[in-house]
Amino acid sequence: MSAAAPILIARRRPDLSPGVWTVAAAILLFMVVVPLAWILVASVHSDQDNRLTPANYVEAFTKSIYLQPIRNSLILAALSAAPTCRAAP
Amino acid sequence: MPGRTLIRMLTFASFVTPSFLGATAWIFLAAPHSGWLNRAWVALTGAPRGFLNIYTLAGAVCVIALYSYPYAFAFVSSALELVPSEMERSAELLGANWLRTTWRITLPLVRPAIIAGALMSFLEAIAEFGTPAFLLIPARQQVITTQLYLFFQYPSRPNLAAAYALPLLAVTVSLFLLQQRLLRRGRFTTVTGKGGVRVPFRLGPWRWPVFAICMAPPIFSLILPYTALLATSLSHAWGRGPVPGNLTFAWYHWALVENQGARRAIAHSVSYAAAAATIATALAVCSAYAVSRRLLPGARILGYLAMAPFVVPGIVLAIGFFAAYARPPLVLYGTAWMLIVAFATRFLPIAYAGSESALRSLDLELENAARTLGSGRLRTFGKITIPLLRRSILANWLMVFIPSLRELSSAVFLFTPATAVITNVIFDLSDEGNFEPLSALGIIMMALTFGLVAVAYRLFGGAVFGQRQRA
Amino acid sequence: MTESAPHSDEVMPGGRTLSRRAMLGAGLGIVGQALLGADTGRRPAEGAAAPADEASLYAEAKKEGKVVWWTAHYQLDAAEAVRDAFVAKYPGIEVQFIRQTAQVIYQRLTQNLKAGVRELDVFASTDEAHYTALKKQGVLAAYRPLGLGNLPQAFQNVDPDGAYHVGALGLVIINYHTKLTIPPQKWTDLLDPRWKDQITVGHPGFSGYVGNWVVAMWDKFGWDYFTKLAKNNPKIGRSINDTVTDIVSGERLVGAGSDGTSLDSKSRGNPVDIQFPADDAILIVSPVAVLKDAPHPNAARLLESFYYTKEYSLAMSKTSNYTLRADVPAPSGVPIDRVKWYRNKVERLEKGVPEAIAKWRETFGV
Repeated sequence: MSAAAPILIARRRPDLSPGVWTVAAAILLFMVVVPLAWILVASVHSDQDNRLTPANYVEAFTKSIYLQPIRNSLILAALSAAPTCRAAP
Repeated sequence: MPGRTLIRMLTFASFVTPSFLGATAWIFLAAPHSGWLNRAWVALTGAPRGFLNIYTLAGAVCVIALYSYPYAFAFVSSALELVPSEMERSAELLGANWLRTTWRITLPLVRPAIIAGALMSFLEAIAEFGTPAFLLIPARQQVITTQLYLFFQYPSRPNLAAAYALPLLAVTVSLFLLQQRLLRRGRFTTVTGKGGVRVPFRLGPWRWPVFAICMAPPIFSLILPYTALLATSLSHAWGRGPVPGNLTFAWYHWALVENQGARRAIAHSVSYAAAAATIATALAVCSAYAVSRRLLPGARILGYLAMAPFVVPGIVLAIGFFAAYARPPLVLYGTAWMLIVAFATRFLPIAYAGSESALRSLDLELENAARTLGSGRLRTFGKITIPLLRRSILANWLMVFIPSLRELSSAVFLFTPATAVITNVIFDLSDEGNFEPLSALGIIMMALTFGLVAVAYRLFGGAVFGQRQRA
Repeated sequence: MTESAPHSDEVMPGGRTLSRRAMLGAGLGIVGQALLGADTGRRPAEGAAAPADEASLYAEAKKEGKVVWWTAHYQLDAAEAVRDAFVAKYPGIEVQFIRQTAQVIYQRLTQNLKAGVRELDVFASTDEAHYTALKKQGVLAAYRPLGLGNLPQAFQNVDPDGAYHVGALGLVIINYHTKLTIPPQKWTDLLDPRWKDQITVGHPGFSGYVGNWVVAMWDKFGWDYFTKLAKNNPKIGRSINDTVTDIVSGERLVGAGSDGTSLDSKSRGNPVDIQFPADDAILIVSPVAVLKDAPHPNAARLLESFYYTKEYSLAMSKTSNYTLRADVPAPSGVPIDRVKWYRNKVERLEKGVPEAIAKWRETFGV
């Protein structure tokens, strides 16, 4: 604050701030958007030859050994959440 | 009620305890043949075998519920704080006893918060990796997260894993939206109580039974497990039980001096968590500032982005990081940055929520004054805003540091042996059943965590934590 | 595809029952009787030129300062004993190692290779098929370690191109809690309903030993063996070594375990012992190789050469694992002379292990 006072008539320095916010936004893209987008991209490519294919979805959601875990997850999560309806002090 | 502070502290302690550590401890306690509780039961009753079996879906449910109830606790207790005592008092004046008051007045008021808390627990449970990996693979039961992990084992199917992970993401996102709606609606009900005075509730003779009920979760989530972990970490072989000749400090010596891998992992954990906390806090403050002062076109989107990882399960985020940064052009895999950036991303919402609420409560006058005096935006931000936010920034830093230190589900996909952290070593040790050094490392990790919490408590007082706990 | 007889023809022509001693005898024959009594501090098999090579290799390795070693060969304390022995022999070189199951370290190596991450020097897995795959990709360095001649001759040239060499020998056997007076005598005994809820095994998707064992059982008895085994509700861990933890803690009574880990635990006073199955112990020949783009190439060579020193075999024997050299006797109390063993051929493992993992997941659900 003390530093602000002498600048009363000082010439305005070029405002760098949009740069800073843009960098922050870019980092967020790199941290959040890019990885999630890559999941989408990866999911439609074959593990064997990297061709574009919906086969992964077909395999993941038709084979019973992959469907059972989904059922288990839902049961597990539902049962774990149930007792938390307990009132707290 | 007696011991209110104690219960708050214990709840916080189970909040910071990672459930995979709890799961390990419960293996010692409740493995069907060798668990200590089962053995005690057999010794007491002469039954052929104990009645507990931790290697079941039910066992995993119990462990996960024990460590996710603090979420519900946080939601409900914050809602309860808004319930005006007058309403409860007037019910009492009209002749209702406290049970009836609680049932008819208090519970309906906090019901949305209870449901929101339960949804929170659901989100946590479905994204949980460590506990199912420790308890359900031996039980031959798979859940989504352990199946995802298997897709990354030999012969690996990362792209199939990506396809398999997306529905998990869909579930968490829709539940989160549902929870937001519920909370918004709930707020209208409780907001009526604004300005009400809170008077501690007198439970009379009911004090002790209520206290006992409240103490039950901490006994099962903290007291028994930590006793088991400590005992194991001090044993030559945990299966032999606490008998003379089984006592040793060798595993602590192993973890802190002898085993270079463990020592390096401890150093990595601390330094990566610190770096992640620094990045997340800095980013959170900058973006929250840009959002609240609308400094960029579409600033609100920035806010959504910063909060987005909140609904992304750690394992899904890790698969994304792996897909994006384990191959050219940008290879972070194999470097510390892979883990640091993943941790920072994963816990960014905590720091963002903290910064946002701190900025909202900040008086704009000082900033405006500086601006009027000709100070640039950046300078004002650095000289005025940041110093004012110092306390909140430190608290945010800690609240990212603590979960980063104990993060397993993303670390397990992203580390290479050169960048292993404590949780990786713990997970690796579990595959051979090396439970004694595992327990010692777990105790060391938690000692670091609780030490930090104690320091923070000294610095900021309980209020900061009471509030942050909700993030 | 696998060898029909318990004694491998390619290993031991003549159809005799191959015994530990016979193997060592073969090795000794090559080394030469005169060297048998040689000073233990030197490595006799290398002949006169060897020490100079070793000294210069050590000097170069010392400049690099450290070596990164991933091993699945034995339990953690054996790996630590090897590290300690190496550091004692070659001070100034730091050994960074991890001990993990074979498929896990292989997976990590594959990911590193894909991402172009250079971090590993010496790779020691228990699944021989990993090495044929890596060799095809051209990522293994052809190197003839010093002292390779100390190995029994039959094991000196597992890979004709010398891209990998034998680093450890071990067996999958039946291990059991000593409160059992009569342990199961053969693999098929484990299918008896009396062992329901009492069996512990590892997972072929993680452990190379288990993968080897599963392929062997599959070829011997058909996949039916595992559908029947599943009815006995075995506890499925990850590493084969986990079976010992389960048995020692009393969680389970019998398992398909490795000899070394079980005997090591027994030697520490734990209630566990081993039974050589009448229908063959499964011999695991675990290779070791130096990576072509190892960040510490000379230290890597030094470490691989260390496998054939007396110190290494002593560390093996101290932790109840089989030794690689004739002049260090096999771990005490285990008369392996009459052990009937069976070994999967590497060509069978290449296809068989991934298939076995997939079938295992269908049968056991994990």
